[in-house]
Amino acid sequence: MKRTPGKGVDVKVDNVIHEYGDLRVLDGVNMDIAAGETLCVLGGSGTGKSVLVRLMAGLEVPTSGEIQIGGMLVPEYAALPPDEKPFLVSMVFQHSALLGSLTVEENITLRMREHRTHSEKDMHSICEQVLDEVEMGGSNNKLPGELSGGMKKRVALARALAVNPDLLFYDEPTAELDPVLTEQIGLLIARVRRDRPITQVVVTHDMVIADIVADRVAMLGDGRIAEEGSYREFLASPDPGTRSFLEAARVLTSRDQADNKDKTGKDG
Amino acid sequence: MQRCGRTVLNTLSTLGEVLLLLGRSIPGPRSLWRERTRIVEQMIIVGSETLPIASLVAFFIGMVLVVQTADQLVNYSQEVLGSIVGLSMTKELGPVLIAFLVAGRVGSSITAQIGSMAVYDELNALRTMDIDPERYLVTPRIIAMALSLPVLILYADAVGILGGCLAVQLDPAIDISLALFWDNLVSEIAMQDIVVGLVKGVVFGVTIAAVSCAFGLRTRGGTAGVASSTTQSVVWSFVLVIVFDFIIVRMAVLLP
Repeated sequence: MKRTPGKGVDVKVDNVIHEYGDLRVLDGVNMDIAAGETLCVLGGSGTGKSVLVRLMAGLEVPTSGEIQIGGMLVPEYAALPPDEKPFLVSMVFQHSALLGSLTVEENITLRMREHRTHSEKDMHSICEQVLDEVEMGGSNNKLPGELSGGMKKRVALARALAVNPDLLFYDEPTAELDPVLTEQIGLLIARVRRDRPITQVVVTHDMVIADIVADRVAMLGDGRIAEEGSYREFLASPDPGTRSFLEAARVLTSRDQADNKDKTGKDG
Repeated sequence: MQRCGRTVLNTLSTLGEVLLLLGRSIPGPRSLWRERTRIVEQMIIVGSETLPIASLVAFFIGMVLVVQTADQLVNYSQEVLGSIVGLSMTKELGPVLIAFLVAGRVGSSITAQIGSMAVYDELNALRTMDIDPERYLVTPRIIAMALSLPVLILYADAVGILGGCLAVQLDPAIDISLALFWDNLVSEIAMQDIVVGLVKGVVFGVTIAAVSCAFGLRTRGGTAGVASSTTQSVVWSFVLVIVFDFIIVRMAVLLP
């Protein structure tokens, strides 16, 4: 079966405030993401990046403010029956979130199977295709417990791509991965950007990922978007918060690279 | 006083949460048919996790019941031993014993599994795939437990009575024959007694499944949260099983 590629939808975040009890995590976030764009949301731990992406994906409801995807408010979109949704949203989670009792193929085809949108033959063919796309061909019958952290991330990406999403969210897609695997995942996301005209929002604290995949980056600090622009503009930012993040990220990145070289040297 | 009020409110809130989950998860005939594969899978899990330990415990409970009761009746007549053992197993011990075993083994595992899924975003992954976690995870478990527990109770009744028969046959302190024990047992157990035990099974099964799933779904805070939810779900299941046991017994006594 020929699958219709996702076409990309725009995202509009309008003055979003989000609180947990007395703690205000997001304090008036405004953001526009164009259809087909790949935006990296950067920021240190605890700045509310993951909360923002969860709000966009409809997994949490903002305390105030609105988020629109493809011209629809997120709650309106979420309330539509699956077969009436005008576009599809997928998400890759920090811990991969593969269902442990299902095989790789069952995980990838779960949405299609549950909504009975495809025949067994079509689902198998789609699974083969997306597994090849993430360089995990032949792992259809493995259980998530048999996969390494990097492989799980690839399968999670394959599961997200299998439904031809128009909007794809990533919540820390390289968390807990070493620099080599981080770069590999970054290259896969960049390949998705090249091959599919979909909108991608990548939440990360990893500058390597931002460098590889982003059309544009947005820096989250003090609950707001502190800085927006291209990756190069971001690197040249005079903003003290951004500079401090960049300094810390550079230290960590160079330390990671040194560690990796040590490991390679020892292994070799 | 404030703490007491908070405890009462928390208790009512948890009960409400379980009831609401139950209400949302009871399927219509169409979705019941759609979930049949997962229901059968869950029934197999309930059976395989409970049967070995249920066999062992029910067998020994049957024997203990005979030996203890015979000792109490030593100055009276042991002829009523069969009816006492049979009625105790079918009406009370079988259902409650199986409910506790299922709550401890299967219920705790349901909470731990769904709790881990909550902590590691697997429930959110289902939501982003437009799959309702309650339909996908809760409904099959509730139906499977409601169907499995009565069968397990019948099995435990049979094994317990078998254990009792063995004790009658082997224990020198028991004066009656196995035939007399059996005749007394069969003549005194009415179909209504067995049905009450089976009704308890359905109610206990639904209760344990709903409580276990509710505590799993509300899990937060990593592995410590999973451990805490699991302990709470087992405690709540035990308490609610005993409360519903009393209610059913009280209602059964009113039956003609």
